[in-house]
Amino acid sequence: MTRWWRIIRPLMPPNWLSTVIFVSAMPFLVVLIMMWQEPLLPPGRIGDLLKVRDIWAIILAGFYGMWRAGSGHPLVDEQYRNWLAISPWLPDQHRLPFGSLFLGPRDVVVLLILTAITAWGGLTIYASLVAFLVTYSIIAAIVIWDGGARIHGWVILLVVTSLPLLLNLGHLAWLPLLGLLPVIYDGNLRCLRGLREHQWIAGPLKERLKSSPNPLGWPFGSLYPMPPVIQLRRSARSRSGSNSSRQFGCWRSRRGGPQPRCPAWPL
Amino acid sequence: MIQLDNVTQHYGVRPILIDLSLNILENELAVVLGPNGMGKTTMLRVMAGVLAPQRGTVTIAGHQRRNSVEDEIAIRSQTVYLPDDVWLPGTMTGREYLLHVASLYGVDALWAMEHADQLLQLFQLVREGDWPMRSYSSGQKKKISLCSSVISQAPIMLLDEPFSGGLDPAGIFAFKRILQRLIQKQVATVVLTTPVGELVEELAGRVIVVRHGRIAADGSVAELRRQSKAGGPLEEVLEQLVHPQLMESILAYFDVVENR
Repeated sequence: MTRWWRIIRPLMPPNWLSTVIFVSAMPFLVVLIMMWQEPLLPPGRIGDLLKVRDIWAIILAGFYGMWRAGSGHPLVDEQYRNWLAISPWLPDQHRLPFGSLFLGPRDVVVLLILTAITAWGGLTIYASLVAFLVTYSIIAAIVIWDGGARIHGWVILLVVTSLPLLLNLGHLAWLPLLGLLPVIYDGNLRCLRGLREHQWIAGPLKERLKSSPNPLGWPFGSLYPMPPVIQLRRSARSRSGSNSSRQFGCWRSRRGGPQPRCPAWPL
Repeated sequence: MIQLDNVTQHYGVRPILIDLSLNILENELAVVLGPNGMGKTTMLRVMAGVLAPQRGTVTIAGHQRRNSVEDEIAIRSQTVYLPDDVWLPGTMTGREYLLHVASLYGVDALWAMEHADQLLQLFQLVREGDWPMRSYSSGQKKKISLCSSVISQAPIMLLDEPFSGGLDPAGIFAFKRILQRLIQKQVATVVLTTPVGELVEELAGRVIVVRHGRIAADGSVAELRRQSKAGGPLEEVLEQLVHPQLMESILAYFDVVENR
């Protein structure tokens, strides 16, 4: 048993049990506190208590969605990203060492508990799920967009912002949100794969962009040594694509028009 | 094993490393010594690939650093870099952290558990090993980061000031013995930096003294003694090489203070 626990425990996300207990206990705690303060409730007040409980559950589901989308994400936590960048971590070969980004059984458990709470004599059973999906999708869209998967980010934001237009679907209005989960999964996957190739380019590029154009101030700016141009080996396909874009650029510049003065950076 | 060719690194207009070339052999324990702000950490960060030098190349085990994705991955899989202020995930326990590091470096899981037990015992972290790392003192954090470098079993270790940061004498002693054994068994090449020579005098096979971004001296402790013409402890040798005028400055100071 001990050996089994020693093998299994490191594979579990940190604090998952405490998260489940906290999330599920809070709404009940609120109800208990209110009942303790006013033990002889008139029949009309029970409905009020149930509303408070539901609002608590929805708020918790929303916070849980935010936390789940942003917590433990290397694109959000710069120190974590830098730590990964000097380790042999590879997105296709290793799990993220400090917990998965993707939704799993523990999230299903948390959502089932919250749904069960709101289902008993309260709001619709979908309320907690919708709150979770909305906040999870918004934060995930921002992170994914920042991580380079721009199309995924836009699609997610488009669906989430158009949600009020779908309200005439009634109880089925949350279904498009469920449809976003594969998009978020794919977006996260792309961002992680992007880290493999660009994680050490990201540093100098970021510094360069931050410090641009004149980090030292006049008259020393021209002395600032710029980071070197990193030449990555490219596949034949991307090389031909790059050549095509260069040819297009030459053709465009010969036709006249403004020529942007941007530094060459082989991204 | 680790080769730096004409590496130049600037922070702004301030040069930190100037046209620095160095070759560290396999299974060598090289200590980079020098006062604060002379480029020791920058040199190690360049070796570790954290910084891209403005000029020059770094080659590790035949792979050029930051040359291609494949080269970079090959280097990372056999190199462990321990910065002075290492990041530790606060919610994770020390034991879990060690096991995750071991799994990243492809160490067998059962052996990693056994090794983690041994390391936690060696560094007096048996009880604390199961606590979240946010509750650790700075010395305990240093110990767990040293343990992580050992459990990775990486053949190349780049350690930035491993003996600083609140490490207690027992921890210093234990880690020194581990490094000595790794070199004796010829299973690791170690580059470490320190501003204090005494800590590594018995350990260093090779001492590289950095001054103002250039190598001021390079050789064994005995060779440095000959070069500096100082027969005392390594601290004195270092001062002769880095600050030859320091002794005169000290005498001049006492002269002024005592004859006031």
